[in-house]
Amino acid sequence: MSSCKSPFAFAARLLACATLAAVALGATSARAQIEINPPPPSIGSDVPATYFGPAPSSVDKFLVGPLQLLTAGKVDLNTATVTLPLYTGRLEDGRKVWSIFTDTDDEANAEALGLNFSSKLTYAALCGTARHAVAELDGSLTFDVGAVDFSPERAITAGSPSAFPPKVADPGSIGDKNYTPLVVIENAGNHVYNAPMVAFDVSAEELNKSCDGNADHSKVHDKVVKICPRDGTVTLALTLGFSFSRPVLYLSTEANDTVVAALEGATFAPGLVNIPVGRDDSALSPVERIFVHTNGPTNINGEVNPQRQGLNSAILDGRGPLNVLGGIPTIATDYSPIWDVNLGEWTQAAIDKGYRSRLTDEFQILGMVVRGFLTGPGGKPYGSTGFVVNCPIVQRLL
Amino acid sequence: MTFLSTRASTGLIALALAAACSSGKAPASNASNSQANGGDKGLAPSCEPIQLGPLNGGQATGSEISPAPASIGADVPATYFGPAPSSVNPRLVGPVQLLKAGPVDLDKGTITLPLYKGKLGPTGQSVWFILTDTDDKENADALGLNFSAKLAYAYAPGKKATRTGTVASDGTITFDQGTVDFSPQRALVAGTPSPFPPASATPGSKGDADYSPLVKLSNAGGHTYNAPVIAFDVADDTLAGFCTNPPDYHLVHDKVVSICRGPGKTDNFTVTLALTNGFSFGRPVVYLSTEASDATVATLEGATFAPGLADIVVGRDDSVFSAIERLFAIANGPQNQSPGEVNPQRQGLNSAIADGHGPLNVLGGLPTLATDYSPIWDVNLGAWTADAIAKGYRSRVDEEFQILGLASRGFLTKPDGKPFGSSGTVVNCPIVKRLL
Repeated sequence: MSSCKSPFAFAARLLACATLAAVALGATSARAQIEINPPPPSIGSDVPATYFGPAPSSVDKFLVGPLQLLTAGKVDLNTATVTLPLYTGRLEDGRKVWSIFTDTDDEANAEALGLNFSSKLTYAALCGTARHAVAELDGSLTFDVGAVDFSPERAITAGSPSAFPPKVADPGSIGDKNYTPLVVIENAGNHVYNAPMVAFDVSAEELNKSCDGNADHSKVHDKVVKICPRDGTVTLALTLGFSFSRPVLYLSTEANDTVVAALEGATFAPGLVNIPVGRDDSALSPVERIFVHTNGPTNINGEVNPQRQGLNSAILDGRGPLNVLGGIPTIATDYSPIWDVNLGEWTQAAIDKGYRSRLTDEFQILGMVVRGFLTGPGGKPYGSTGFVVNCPIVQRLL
Repeated sequence: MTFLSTRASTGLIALALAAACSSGKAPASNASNSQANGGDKGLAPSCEPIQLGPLNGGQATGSEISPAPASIGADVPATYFGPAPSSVNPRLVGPVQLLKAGPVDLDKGTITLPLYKGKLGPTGQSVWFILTDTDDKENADALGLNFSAKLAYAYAPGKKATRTGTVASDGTITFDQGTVDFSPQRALVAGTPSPFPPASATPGSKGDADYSPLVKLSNAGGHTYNAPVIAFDVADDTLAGFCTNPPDYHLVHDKVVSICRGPGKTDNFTVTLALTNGFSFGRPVVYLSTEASDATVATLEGATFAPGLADIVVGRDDSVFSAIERLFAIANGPQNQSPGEVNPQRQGLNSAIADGHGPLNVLGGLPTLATDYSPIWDVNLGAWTADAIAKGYRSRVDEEFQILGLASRGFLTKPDGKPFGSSGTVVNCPIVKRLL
């Protein structure tokens, strides 16, 4: 029996899903960014920050402090965006493909290009979940399959009585049945690259109209803030979260479910449907876990609750859900940009006892699960929803 | 108001035990440990060390801070998971023993270290001490001690923050000053209406005016070592009696679980000491707590009151010539409320008194996480405001910048409502192990 999932089995899990993600681009606003930006270390001390030594991460990237992980481009913490090289390519039929590169399982070239290294990506192309491409002599890629329709308009209508799950959730871009952001480059060591598509079948001249902003989201990915083939760059909005209690920023570009994709402002990528989930850090597992909450604390009377988190909060408060990532480079060895969505729900008993709070660390969450304070949606056992999101890590803020 | 009298120090703040003793109720996670139990000053049978469960060993709920198994919520058992990233690189996430001079027993919440014998130069009295930290990087690595660059800033001529000493030709240290009286009986009277601050507190051991656990050697490169005194002016054979029998806490530090003679010379010993639970940058950790510069804090910690440490300058954190790193304690964190159930958010000094578990303090930088570690911690004591509590913002906090963020928004202040910052007290708490 194949270990690859059938689309039917996947569809059956849909109702159990209660997704993640940043409700729209609002979650990536500078205002939201400030929410988890570490305060100056001088608070509560007798000397100003200017007299403090540099962040330990400036001495050793593995130590605490801000650190850009996806170094292929420039991060703007004020606007919570990253500007990356924009790569051109084409399908075999000649239609134009505009992509970014974020991750690869080729460690040496990851370092050389400023991409994230993910050894798990080697396991991500085992079930038809990666496209194939050939690197041409001019450095462009020719892909075998995979088209994306960026014309749909993203729409979300809050649910009732809880904002989550939403009543309506339509993604703003939809890939064809073969589309996945992953690609095996056959003449470059057969390595797997994460190459999310940001525009398709559109000319450079058309895209150059958005060199200064005002990206046309009927032609480009919803996360695009600016795109400029003339300069060879694209600026993308980032999402806030945590990894082992460190605040982080990441890209969120694809999901293998339409509802999740709509909530994330991402592309629905049917090609990721068959990716195996649930096996976390075991052999041949291509995923790492991301922890999302449905019913975390929400804001009170318009004041930003320092404990707020989760999908209800994201919808009601217009900010991000502050998801918790598992391992990322410089903190762990098990990073993958393909995240297995584990959705948690605080039990009523836990809420009544005042145990509900923001959670920022994987093992803190698993400890709550062990004690029965967090379950899957509707009281089901905690674990994978069956959905994955493509969320390349960009920057540690701490 | 409850009068407490106990000599037991546990892996957590001693106050926690005191509370458990006062109620006659053992902490929920306690298990029997005869070596740590039954000191000769009326230690109640329930006053046992709070024990840590094994890491990822299926008993994660047995300890308040032990990480849950990584396989929770996964479709495969933990046996199929790769090793902890820290086994590849100690700076990555996962368990790492930092003070490697002796074995850690997480089940019992203890570490067993070499016990060194020195003498006080002016009198020739025996000084029994451990070594935990130094500013000599290479010898720290060689001896399994913690390296702390900040210790180079702990000595100032004419001040008592650091003793002086000399290494003799036989490898022992002759200290120029500093005695400790271990005879007092630790006693605490809980406060009212809140248990913290206590109405009165008497530490179980007191150093003289010159005592500090730190010693700057006149030879051996002039480096500074953290050398907490465990016993003073006690004969070898007397200490040898504390291996199988309970220690006499009139004679030894309150954190001693046992002292056992090793092979070779008759003054070769190991000492087993109780550890304390806490967090650093969200990671659960265990550490030693051996001295405090304030008598009340020393009582709460089950530590020695070390007047010399009062000369340590506080408040300057990671700036030049600052010898300290910050430790964050919370006065009024969440407390247990359901009978028999440990609140997963519980934390703080009121909680420690009320429910018999530790306060779960938050440490700043540690080796492998940051560059600014010092075993001399500047206690920043915070209190949740009534407004924050009323709005439901109060929770356990486990990370320095999380705490500073709450302070910057006004949700955490000093207990008297003044701006968050140093309490002026330092504690000597060498880091022992990251659990994650």
